[in-house]
Amino acid sequence: MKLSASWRKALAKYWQLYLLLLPVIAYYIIFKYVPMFGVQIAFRDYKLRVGMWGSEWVGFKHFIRFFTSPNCWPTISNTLWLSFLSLIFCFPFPIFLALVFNELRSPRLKKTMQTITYAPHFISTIVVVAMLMAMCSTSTGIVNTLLVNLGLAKEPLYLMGSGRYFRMMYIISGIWQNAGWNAIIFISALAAIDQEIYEAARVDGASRLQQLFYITLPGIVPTIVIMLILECGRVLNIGFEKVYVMQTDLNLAVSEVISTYTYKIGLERLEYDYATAIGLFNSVISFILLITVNSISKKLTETSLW
Amino acid sequence: MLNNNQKDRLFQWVINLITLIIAIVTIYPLIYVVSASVSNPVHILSGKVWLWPVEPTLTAYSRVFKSANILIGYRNTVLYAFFGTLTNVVLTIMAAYPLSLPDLKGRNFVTFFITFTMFFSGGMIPSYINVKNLGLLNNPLAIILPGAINATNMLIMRNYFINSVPGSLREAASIDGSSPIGTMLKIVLPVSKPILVVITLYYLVGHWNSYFDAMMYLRDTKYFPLQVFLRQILVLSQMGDMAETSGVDDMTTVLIYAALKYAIIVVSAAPLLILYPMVQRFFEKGIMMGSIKG
Amino acid sequence: MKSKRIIALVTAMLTAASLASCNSSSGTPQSSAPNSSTPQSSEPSSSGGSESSSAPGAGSGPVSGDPITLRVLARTPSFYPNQDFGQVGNMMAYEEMTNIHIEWENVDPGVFNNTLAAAIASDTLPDVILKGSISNTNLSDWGSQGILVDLSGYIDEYAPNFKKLMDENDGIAQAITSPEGGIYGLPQVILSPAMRAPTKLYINKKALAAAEVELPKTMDEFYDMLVAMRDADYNGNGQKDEIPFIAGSSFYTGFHGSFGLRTRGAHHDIVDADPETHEVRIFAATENYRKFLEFMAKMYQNGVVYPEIFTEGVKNVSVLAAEQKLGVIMDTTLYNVPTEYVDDWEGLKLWPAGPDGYDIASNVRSVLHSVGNFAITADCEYPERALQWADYFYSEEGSLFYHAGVEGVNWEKKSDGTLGYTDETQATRTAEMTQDSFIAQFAMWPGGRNPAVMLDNLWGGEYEAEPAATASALLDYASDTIWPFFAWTDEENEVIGTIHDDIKSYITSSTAQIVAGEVQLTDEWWNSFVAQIESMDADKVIDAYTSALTRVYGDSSKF
Repeated sequence: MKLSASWRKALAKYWQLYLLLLPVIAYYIIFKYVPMFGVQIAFRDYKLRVGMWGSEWVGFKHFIRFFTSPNCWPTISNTLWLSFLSLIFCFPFPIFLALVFNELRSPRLKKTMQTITYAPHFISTIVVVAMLMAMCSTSTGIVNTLLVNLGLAKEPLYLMGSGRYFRMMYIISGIWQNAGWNAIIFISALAAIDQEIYEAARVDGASRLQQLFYITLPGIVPTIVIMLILECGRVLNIGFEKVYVMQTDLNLAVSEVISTYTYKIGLERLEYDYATAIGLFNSVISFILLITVNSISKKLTETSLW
Repeated sequence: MLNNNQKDRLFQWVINLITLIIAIVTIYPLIYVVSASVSNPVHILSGKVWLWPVEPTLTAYSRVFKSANILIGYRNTVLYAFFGTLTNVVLTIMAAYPLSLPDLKGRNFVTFFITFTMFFSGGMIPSYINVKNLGLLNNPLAIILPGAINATNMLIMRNYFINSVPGSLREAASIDGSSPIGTMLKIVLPVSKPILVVITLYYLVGHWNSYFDAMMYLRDTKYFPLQVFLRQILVLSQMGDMAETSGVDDMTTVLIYAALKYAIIVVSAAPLLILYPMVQRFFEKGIMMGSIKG
Repeated sequence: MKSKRIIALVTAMLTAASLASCNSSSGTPQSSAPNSSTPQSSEPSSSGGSESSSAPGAGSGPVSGDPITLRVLARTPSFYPNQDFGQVGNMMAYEEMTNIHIEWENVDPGVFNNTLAAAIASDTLPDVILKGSISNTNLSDWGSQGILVDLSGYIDEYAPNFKKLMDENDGIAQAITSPEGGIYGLPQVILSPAMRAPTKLYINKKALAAAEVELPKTMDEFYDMLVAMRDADYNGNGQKDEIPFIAGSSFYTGFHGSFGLRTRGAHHDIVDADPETHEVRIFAATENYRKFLEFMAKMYQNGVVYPEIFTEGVKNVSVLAAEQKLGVIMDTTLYNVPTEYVDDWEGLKLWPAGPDGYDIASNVRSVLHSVGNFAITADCEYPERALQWADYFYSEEGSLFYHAGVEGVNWEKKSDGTLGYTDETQATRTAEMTQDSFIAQFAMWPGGRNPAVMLDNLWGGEYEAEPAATASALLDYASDTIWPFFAWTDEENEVIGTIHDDIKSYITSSTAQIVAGEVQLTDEWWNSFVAQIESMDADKVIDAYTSALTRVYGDSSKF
């Protein structure tokens, strides 16, 4: 094979690193790209026995079925609403936590707080929802007792049943469960900020608030941007399990999202071709979103995934 | 007008207040879990447990530990978590470091090649067929290999190498005659401890909590990780399906399971909660600067 | 330019890899059976079909033969010992009785559908799929692809017990035969009335006495009784903490029948036939449904229904019953009520009549509980023996064996003539066991989806005195016509698969919102509700039903 000069130069300098990359590429081909041929069943009338290569092509039939289904737009809009609200409320919280902990003077307190906020991540979704139900019960729940006694609500609110509160409960419990865990990445980024900059700022007479805004925050902006880009790529991928466990007949109108809808089609009805088509639509939109956000970020902040 | 000193003190007060609020809000449900796990279950169901244990009992824990499988599960989970995480972290570094070098030709293509898989996958059945064709069905390797690298974690690590490891460090090393791999091992990785720890933690916890692959790919009870066993007890405690068949449960039976799910959380989360404080020291300021200077 | 070459290279690698994965059809699973050169399976060994015409169960014991091995993929709930059917008492005994060794592949219910589909797609079919509860849709789809064996040719000879049931009971054959005439799975047959009416109203006698009313005969009386229970302090604690009515999450679907809705039984959720004209319809789009909604909204919003019914359902029944707060429970059995309070409860032996006089118990099953519980795949070398293996469970003796374990070991005839568990078996029960995990030690009943018949001779659960008596009484209130499960054609399936489910979820969520009062039931709302159902291609669903019904009943006056 004839290689151009620039390639020869790169190989000469970095052949060891190319060697390192080889197993990685092999892994991706074997475990990710080979099964990826499965997406073609989105365009076929998938018959399990004849397999994905033998099933008949049906073009965009499954996609048309989805887009003409009365559930299509409500499901997409529910997904977008939930993601959008999560992005606004859940994303900043770990950053906030990391910054607050960073300002704590006692190392012991700092460590304790980190452990406390990180712990809820280990509680399984099913149990988190079960606890929410217990705590938000209209008759025995502590939340409603507090709300009524503090005069914040006239009568107990049906927090876990009603569609009105579904998004709020989803987000609040999400923050509680994951903010501390997600803060870890920002805490580690804070550790990389050069201490000498703070010393210089102190000498210049900067207050702690000023140090926070002019040194600490800018110091972790690249991490924030990367996490935000990744988050945007996930906007349509609302996790299935928690929504599914929180679904009731009463909140179905706001709680049916793409992932729960696909689950019902794929796993309960075994219509894999249709479920794959919806999943593929989901992936394409997510991917386009990621690329767009990434290139915007490249222009604005010079931080990007590639 | 406040002077800087007063401002700083006020600032500290605000910070402390916020911390207090966060602590209360977060810790309350945790105490609830622990209290519920050792309370008489009748009081859990009737809502009488709201902070401290009521009529403490260890029945739920004895039920969990009486199951012989729990120990097998612990052992398997520790093995999967250890070897799985090791594989994960090594492969992730092997991908992230080369791809972080600005003058490595083809790096954008490879990054894209990897990122693409975050969005497009063949789905459950093709993955299963793939695992089967590789001969990994009912093989513990099926828990480790298919998820050997997580693209998101790779991107996060790569981003850290790009943004937080000064290029001048690498150049200095290579002028001194260090090979690229030598530079990576001796110069870059030591100053990247925080991100290595974070990524290790991400993978470790992922292995610790996972059960789906095990349920799909493993048949032999002796290979099952802890979560599968715990999930069995948990599902058992959901009385839903029982109307289907036969019923008449003693009150005691119904009640034991009410406390079980909380005991299970404590049993499964405790090891990692103990581990975390040991990990934290890597996040402390100065470690990294010290190693650069040294 | 160079990047193009890389892409070409990668593509080539990908193609190679994918070809490799496609070609590897090697490694076909071998059963550990002795070489099958002898056609032992076709021998009409031992009792077999010859004695099938005798009294039910008598003589048609398990069929034995040369030792063979079957690989069985099973949906195994976790409460079975080590989640392994191979360790269940009666299955171990059955290996010796039949000379069939089973290699169990136990799959957790949470991943069963996935595993089954993956096994089919990856050519690693088991011989038998057990407790799969495969829908008619999938049965006929997989049957037509040659994945499952058509049992219709084997039943006459190798499944005498099942054949007898089919011959003697309407509604089995139609429900399991595909439009092309194939039978690809065996159902759970319920010949006991106790199993046929799962939705029952249990009334607390003390609460009734405190409310000073008679047992209700109509919905209005029922409602008045609930109001009276709400206001009477029957537990005498001085607080108005009584909860007159509690049920599973969608309590309202239980009352369809009082409004002349869901007149064709438990197996069909949104379509029925008008009780007078026999016209096929989506019943939610009729004026009666509006009356139903108004009544249910009145119940919920006037505080006679457990307010958290949408989230908690019957989960809290045990505690609330122990606190003596409940007036009426809508449930299958009284298993949620603590034993010491069970005697306070009595089943309502009629169905309350609605404003227009309808008193239909709507949630009534046909003679089938579920379909697709036992299927034989094309990879099975011994379909005859496999079918004989399952057929035993459709006899009286085999049903007891399947549901209650080995006679004399696990259960026996008591001195009073009734059947019950032996003392030794009872003694294995510990406080931690649920009824399910107790039975799962020695029998296959728990978890349902059984390839077996349920007769009147079982005990526990639905068979307890009060639930059984109530169920029998309610059957008098059932419609004369209970539609069976339908075997859909491919075209009908397309409609039923999506449109039907979309409409159903729309009706479910709209109904819940009205009942809970989150949306007001105005003329405007009602018109848009009906219009929305129609715009969701309701007529296609009705067409699909009409053609399926025509196959089953022929004449539309019999719908």
